[in-house]
Amino acid sequence: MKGGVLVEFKDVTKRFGDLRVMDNFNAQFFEGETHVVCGRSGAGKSTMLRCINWLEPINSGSILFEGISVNAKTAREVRKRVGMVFQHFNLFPHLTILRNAILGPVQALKESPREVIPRAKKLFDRVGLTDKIDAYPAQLSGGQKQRAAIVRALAMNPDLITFDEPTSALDPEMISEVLDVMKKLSQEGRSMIVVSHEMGFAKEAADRISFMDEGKLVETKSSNDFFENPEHDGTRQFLRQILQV
Amino acid sequence: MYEIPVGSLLRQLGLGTLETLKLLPVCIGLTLALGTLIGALHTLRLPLLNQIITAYVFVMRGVPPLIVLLIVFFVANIADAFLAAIIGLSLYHTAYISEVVRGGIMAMPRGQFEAAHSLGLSTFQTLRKVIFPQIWYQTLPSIAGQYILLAKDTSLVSVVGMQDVMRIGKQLMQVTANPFIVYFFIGVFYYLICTSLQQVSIRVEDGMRKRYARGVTR
Amino acid sequence: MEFSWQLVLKWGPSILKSLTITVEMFTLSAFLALVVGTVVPALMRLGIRPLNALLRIYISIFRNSPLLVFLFFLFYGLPFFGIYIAPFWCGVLGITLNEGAFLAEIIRGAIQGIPRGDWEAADSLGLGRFQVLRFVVVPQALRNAIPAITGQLSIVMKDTSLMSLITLAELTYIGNFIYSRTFNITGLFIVAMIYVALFAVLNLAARVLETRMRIRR
Repeated sequence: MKGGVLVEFKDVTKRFGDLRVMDNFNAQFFEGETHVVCGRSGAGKSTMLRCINWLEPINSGSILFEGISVNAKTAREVRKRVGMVFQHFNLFPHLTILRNAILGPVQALKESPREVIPRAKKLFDRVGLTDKIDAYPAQLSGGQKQRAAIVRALAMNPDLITFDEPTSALDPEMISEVLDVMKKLSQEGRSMIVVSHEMGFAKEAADRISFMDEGKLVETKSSNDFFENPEHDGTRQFLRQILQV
Repeated sequence: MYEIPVGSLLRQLGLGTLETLKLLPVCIGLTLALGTLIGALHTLRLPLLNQIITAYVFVMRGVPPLIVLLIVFFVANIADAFLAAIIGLSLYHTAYISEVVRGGIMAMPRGQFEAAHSLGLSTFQTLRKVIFPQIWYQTLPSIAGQYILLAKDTSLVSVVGMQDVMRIGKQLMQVTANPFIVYFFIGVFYYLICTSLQQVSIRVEDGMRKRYARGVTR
Repeated sequence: MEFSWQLVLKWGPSILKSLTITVEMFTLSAFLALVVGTVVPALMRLGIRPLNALLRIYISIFRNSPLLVFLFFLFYGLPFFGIYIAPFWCGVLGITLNEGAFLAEIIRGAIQGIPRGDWEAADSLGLGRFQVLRFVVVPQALRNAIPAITGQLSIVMKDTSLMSLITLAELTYIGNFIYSRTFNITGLFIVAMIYVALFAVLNLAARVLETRMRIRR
């Protein structure tokens, strides 16, 4: 455990109609840690992530981010401090990736372009997209798009970055370029919550790993412990299936 | 200014609406028949005919219906206002209907034509028995939309001399000094026609969906 | 009833003057109608229920009644209450409200076509609803809707011909006028050709705009 508690879920329930996607969910995420959340499809992982920045409202319980309760009123403030990277990138197609990156800081954080642009350019440098900053998303490959999306999230100087299956929509040969960027971020000590099936990444970069099943947090362990001593049957089964591949 | 009792006012306006209501079915029938014919002919790509139809459609897309009505009225020297209105409006809207029909025909997969021809059906029979029954459903919303425009264009026919609701309305307004009642009534009249057409279109669409949903194969 | 070049020469200047009026009215009304057509659906996205109901009524009324009725009311009806509006401005007001309603529907559909992912990404950056519309959604919607919008604009061009019936000396009026003086349809014919030419220009501009502004995902 690195820093203090950054995000806390207390008895959170989230329903889509009759379906209980999150069921009395409790969890803590710490500052500075890289936390990977895995599980089967439909286990509620993505939903959990999207509740943190109120892209999905919750039905009961509470979520605390940096001590603030996350609700409809505080959503905008929370979103300014939580960066999100989406499975399908969701880059704005009518803007160059540079403009994609500065839109948030300029409009939401009210920073001046003169401050933001150099910062964004440095970030693009670090992910290897320097000569593409005036390109439009449609002109980039999947891996490049996702790296650009990561820059867009980073440009906001967030306290937490969440990744919702960031490599699931990528062709295999482009997955590593994105994972490399994520590993670098992890080494810098950024607070990251990553929903992913990439167990290789989890083994290398994660501080803690959680397994979710049917809307509940089944097990959370430090990275080594998770792979060597999984406690629950569900976890063991999952690991067996995933690691076969 | 005279005080005309509302009842009598409405009755006079009502006479005007009758003229408009007489126009609509005739125009719809005419444009549908001619538009389908021309649209189908357009898809055949016969050398001279194709250019003529293309030019005709292009001109009607560019020229305001009012001009068409005026030219028909003056050129043809048509004494009967009703006839002039019908010819003018139909000339204009047939072009649009023909484009909708042409679009519907061209949206049909080639396989349908090939199968029909390989069975020995003539072009005419193919269109009638195989293509048209299938494209009605697709083209109906566009056709209904066009007829809503037609209904609104009937407000122009006073320029060819028809005693329609617009002309009577203007006269009555001078006399009663009450534009609100007069134009409110006229507005409601057209509004009802347009929304009824929309309802008809929705109703027919539902009916067709039920009939064809199971049987249509691609 | 013959085509006469002499008439063309004699009435040429008047026709040109009327042409400028037509083009002025078109440009102004088209612009204003676009503004209305963009603002209305954007407002409807803010989720204020009484406002939405009002806007929906506005759209329904103007889409389902003829422009001429509204024009007559403005030009012939309002004077009974002492309100006198010049025919040009009656036209601009009428077309703006009428075509604005159509454009509002078109743009509303285009806004709905923007994928949810874009909304979510913008939300996740902490942008407010108005900001999301202004920087992410509406710019895309407008570009996607260019074919439908330019189609509607050619209808605006035709609407200007209605002003001849409220005594504005635009193209149709002058064509009609020439006929009434000379009983020769040359005037009307020339006017018709001018309309077709204007339409051709609009069409061309639309096609160019379409290719240049197309958004690829």
